Amino acid sequence: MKLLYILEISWRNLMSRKIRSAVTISGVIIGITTIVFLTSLGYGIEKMTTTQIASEQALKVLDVNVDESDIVAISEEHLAEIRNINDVAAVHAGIKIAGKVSNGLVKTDVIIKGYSRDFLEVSATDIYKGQQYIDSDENKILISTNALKLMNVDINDFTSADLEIEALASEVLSPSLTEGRAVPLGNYLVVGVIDDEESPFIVMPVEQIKDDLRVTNYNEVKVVVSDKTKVQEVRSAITKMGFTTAYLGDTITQITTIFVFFRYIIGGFGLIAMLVAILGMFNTLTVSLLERTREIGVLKANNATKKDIFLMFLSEALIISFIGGVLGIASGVASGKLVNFWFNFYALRSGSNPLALFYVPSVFVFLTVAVVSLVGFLTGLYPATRATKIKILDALKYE
Amino acid sequence: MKPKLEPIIKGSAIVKDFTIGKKQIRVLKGLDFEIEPGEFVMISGPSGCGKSTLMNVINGWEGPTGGELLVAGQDIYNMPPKDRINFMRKHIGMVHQAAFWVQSLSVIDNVAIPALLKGVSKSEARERGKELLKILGLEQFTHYKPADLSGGQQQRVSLLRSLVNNPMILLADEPTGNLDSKSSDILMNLFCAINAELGRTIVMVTHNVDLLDYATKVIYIKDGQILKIETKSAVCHKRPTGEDIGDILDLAKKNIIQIPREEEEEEERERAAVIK
Repeated sequence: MKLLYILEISWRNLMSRKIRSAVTISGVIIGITTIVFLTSLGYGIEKMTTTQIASEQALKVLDVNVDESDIVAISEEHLAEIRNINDVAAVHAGIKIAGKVSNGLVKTDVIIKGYSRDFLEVSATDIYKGQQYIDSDENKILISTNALKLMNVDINDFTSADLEIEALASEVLSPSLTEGRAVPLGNYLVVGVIDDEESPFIVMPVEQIKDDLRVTNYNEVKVVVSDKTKVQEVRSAITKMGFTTAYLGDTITQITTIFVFFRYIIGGFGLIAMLVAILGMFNTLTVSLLERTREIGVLKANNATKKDIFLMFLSEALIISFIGGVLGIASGVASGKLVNFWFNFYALRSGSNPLALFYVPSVFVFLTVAVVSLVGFLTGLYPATRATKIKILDALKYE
Repeated sequence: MKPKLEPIIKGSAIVKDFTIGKKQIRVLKGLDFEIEPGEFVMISGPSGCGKSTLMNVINGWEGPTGGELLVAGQDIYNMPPKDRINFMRKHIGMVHQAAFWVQSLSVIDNVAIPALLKGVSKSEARERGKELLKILGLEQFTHYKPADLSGGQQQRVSLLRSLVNNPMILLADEPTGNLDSKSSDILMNLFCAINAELGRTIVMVTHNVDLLDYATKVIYIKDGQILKIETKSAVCHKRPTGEDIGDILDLAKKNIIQIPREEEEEEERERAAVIK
């Protein structure tokens, strides 16, 4: 009850000096708005970048490499062993070999990728034009835009291409064939195009070419882990088998590290604004202390304890910082939304996709309220402590 | 002859020193005095004699350098500070020379301060304040800010504030010092009514010899020492002139007696126990 009364006196005091209180609270609001606006911009750009690089699903996928490991290819036995590792949800094996593609008189070197449909889905391969194949489809392939270009096929007329494909055998994948032997795979129709201007490749169901190429080993494997928190455990089990692994999460971690640094820099600018607000708050509380010296005397003369006086001044600081903090967060989020709305308005008009430039994690909101309250507490500590030390007689005589 | 009661305030060899610069000044030089329950005591003397210092020792603000002060049988300066504050909240009310306020609060909320700081609920504290304002016909000022009242009205509200916890001892430091003679008479008669009708002990510091007639005991101080203690029989014989003053006093006396107090009986018992 008494605490409520003390809070009421603090509130009334703030209300009795409305303009000064409003200016002080506005200072805190501006400080917090700046911090929230800049930091949410940092979070937003980071989120946008990382989600563009990897979906949630992609963060559960490990690539098993043979390029740098001491094992040259991945056998069926290796795959069985990997499937038996705890938390492995699925294993998709594929091959990648050199080959040639002819379209009439035009012939070009390409990379032939033998991937199941699941392999492609796990790789998050986007079909730019056309459609996906299904594993049982015969003589249907996907092709990169770069390969189409090399074969002088118009991208809008890719279905007209009738491609004759031959693979160059790899002893590692097909031990029964001589290295470099040309193996004709037959004629294929293009059902879909993958947007890749850098690399000429075709993709076909691995099951369709396994027999022709007598494939017994694989050189590309994707391991799907049941939970992304288990990825490191699965990863170390695969490493123990002698393979090296690549994980998209590593890239995300590197990007996140850069963005943490970026957030520190923009947060630093916000902190400067906050520091100015803190000085304003400190000044208000100190002036209030001087103005209310007599009142402190009155309360002490009416047997207010040191704790009562301390709480009264501290609660004023906390009220200012809490209101400033909450309104500052609201205003920071609103400013972000406004700028985003304005940005997307022009983006849509120019034909670009809308973006979420700002992102405020809920934990950041709670953290900001907590930090602002702590700052309020620390700012109020000095005037509150000084108020308790004022002697009744000095306070009552104070003019 | 009236039987001698156990003192409600007892000072033994009270000494108070102040250090000004490097110099130590002894303001109170070993004072011995006793104040019985229900007495109206004036502490009188010339300026600088130490009477206000003695008052500050009695109300718990300035600990004595030496000696012992008992209030209701308790050595208040041997209590932990928090206990002393709680004890004073319960037993002592104080009126100052100037009325001091929390300016952001209304009249009623200022009157209620001691009760609220004691932990009484807001509704009850306000109810008590309202009853007290009615006593002096000041209820129309309930929601005014204290600064809107005249000096006399402020001092009367200040007196009401000292009564809100229904203390058994009322201390007053030059309460009429800033008032004109009419306001001063009203206030003094209110003190008389509180003393005579409610039996509260009143200790007042004054340099105004005209006020000494209201007292049942006068402690004369000079140069930090008690010159003499005079016990008098005359009680509140001065009656202010003017109908309006008389009306206020009649209203006050009538209402003071009628104020229902939940704690009254309990405190009566405590008081009786202390006196025994």
